[in-house]
Amino acid sequence: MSHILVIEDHQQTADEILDCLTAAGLTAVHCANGPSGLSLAQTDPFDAITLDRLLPGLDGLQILEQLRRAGITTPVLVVSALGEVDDRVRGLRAGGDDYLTKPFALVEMVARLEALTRRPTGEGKNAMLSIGPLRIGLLDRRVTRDGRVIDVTQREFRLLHYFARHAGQVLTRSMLYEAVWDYKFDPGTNLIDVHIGRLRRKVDGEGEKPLLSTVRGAGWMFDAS
Amino acid sequence: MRLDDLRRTSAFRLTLLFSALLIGSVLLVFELTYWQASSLLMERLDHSLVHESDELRLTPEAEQIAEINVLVGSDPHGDWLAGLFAADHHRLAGNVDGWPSHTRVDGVVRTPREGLDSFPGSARHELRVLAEALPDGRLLLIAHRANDVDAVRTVILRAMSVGLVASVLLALVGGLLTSFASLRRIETMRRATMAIVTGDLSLRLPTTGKGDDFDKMAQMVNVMLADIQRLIADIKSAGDNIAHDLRTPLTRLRTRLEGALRRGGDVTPHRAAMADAIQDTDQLLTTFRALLRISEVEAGERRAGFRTVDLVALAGAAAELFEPIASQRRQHLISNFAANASLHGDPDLLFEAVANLLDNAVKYAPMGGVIRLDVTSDAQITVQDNGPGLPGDLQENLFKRFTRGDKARHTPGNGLGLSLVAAVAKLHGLTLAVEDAMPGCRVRIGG
Repeated sequence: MSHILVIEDHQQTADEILDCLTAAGLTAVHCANGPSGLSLAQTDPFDAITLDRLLPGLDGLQILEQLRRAGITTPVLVVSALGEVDDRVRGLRAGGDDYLTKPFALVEMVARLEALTRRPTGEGKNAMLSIGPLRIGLLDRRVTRDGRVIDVTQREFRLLHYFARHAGQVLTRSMLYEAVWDYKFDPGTNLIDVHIGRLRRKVDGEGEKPLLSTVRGAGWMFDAS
Repeated sequence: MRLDDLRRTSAFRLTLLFSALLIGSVLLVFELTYWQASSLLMERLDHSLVHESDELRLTPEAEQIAEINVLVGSDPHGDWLAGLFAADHHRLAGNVDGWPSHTRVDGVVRTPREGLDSFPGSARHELRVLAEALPDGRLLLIAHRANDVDAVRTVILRAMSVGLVASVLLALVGGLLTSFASLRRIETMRRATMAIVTGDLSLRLPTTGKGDDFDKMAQMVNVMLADIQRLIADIKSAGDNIAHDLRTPLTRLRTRLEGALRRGGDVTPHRAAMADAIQDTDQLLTTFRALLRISEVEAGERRAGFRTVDLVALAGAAAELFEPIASQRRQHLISNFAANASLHGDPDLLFEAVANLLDNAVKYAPMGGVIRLDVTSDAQITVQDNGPGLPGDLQENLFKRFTRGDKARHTPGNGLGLSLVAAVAKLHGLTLAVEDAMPGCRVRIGG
């Protein structure tokens, strides 16, 4: 079970976040200002931190820099109302691991925190990623399911690879888009869905147990168990 | 308008500078005239001295004394001075009192500095003296006062001072008048500006129609004012549109929540209402995000991150992103790319622009329709669909926020797509053209 530190000055938002994290099976501690958040992050072990950028007393990015300078490598999800691309870049450069723009859906936050806290599966130097019935050849880009060759495009291969590495996690549209497509863009509701629909038809054949499933209101999950 | 203001105008400063230059040039001209005229007169005087001495030398000895007396006596002003001296400087004839000391006997005309008291008459004028030995050993001395030269010099000097004073006065008066005129023009401009600042943006700076530099400046400012007025009108209409377009979904959201509250009942209908409400809110947030994106792009700060963008790769990625959704609608997305095409710009924004155009095309092309995406080697990107095209009345407001065709009311969208494309094109200095493709619509972004 992951333990999350939520540094957020707005009480109501913090309550919602805590509720949602608890409901998702994570434990969370709330801290309403920068300096105490900083000291808490340095003393207690957390699996991940959500950090609001605009805090009373101390800018979120300053906290982040001080944390990193103190050698604390806990993954940080920077949360901000500043959605401009430059702010995003600045947040990531200051040592953030992911960036979320307000307003956001809470499922998006949970999904991103889970992605941050869980080590991606099959990470390593293996040329083959095996997960359930699926074999993904990382060098020859060959995908098979129980021996059946699945013909995927380059983009579909990247999608499937990302899914497989985050098996068991909910992945949202924007997470998938950011991971697989190279241009920053808000793809809206339908665009990614049809890509995944197409991939799913290839991966989950007639009568096979579906590997890619829709998580209502959130996104998709690759589940091989 | 105070004198102090006048003194500080650029016209007045220029006047001062030109007056100084004028004084300099007048002085130079007069100096030249003065020097030329006096040296010419002096040369003539010297010439007549030499001439007289030559005459006297050639005159027989017996007549020389008489000749000298004629020379001296026939001159009523007493300007001619002459003397005939024995070798021991004893005076034999003439009106020179005695042999002036330090006189060199060589037949050259000089202005002596010593022995001047030997010459009668006023010492006010310069004296030119020539002394030479006659063949019989006697000494001949001839001199002339340069009072004519001095008189001419005086005339020139007087003319010079009068002319100088007059021209400087003229320059100053002219300068003051032009400074005054420019101050008055500036004052009218200031009044007009104040009126504009206090709220009447329809006012313009006055021009005289003379096409002078003030007119040119006023015209430039007026162009700027027109642009500002247009922008403010745009902002106002955008604001009105935002209010209008957000009120509709907000009202819907409110009605939905109110209905759920009134109906009461079980958890299930409540949950359904909430899910719908969240969807409504997401739609609103998308609209807000799009608005913020547009103003971010329009602010132009993104130019700092410009680099060379491979348009072929970009268009390829965009086509690939939209291909599944097009084929879901059984539309054909046909790509036609040049081998190489690049542009200096922001890749993410350009991608977003192309994606918006493709999104429109997919939305408006009919089921089974054709969408073309072309990239030419001169960096022109064209997106064409065979949908209903554009009604004429829509063309004008096409790039304004929230503009949507009547037929589009039933398709999802917020009317912000083309505004963003227009903002991206403007940021990159590209033109955006929308044409009727008959049937359908063709949008072209290019240099």
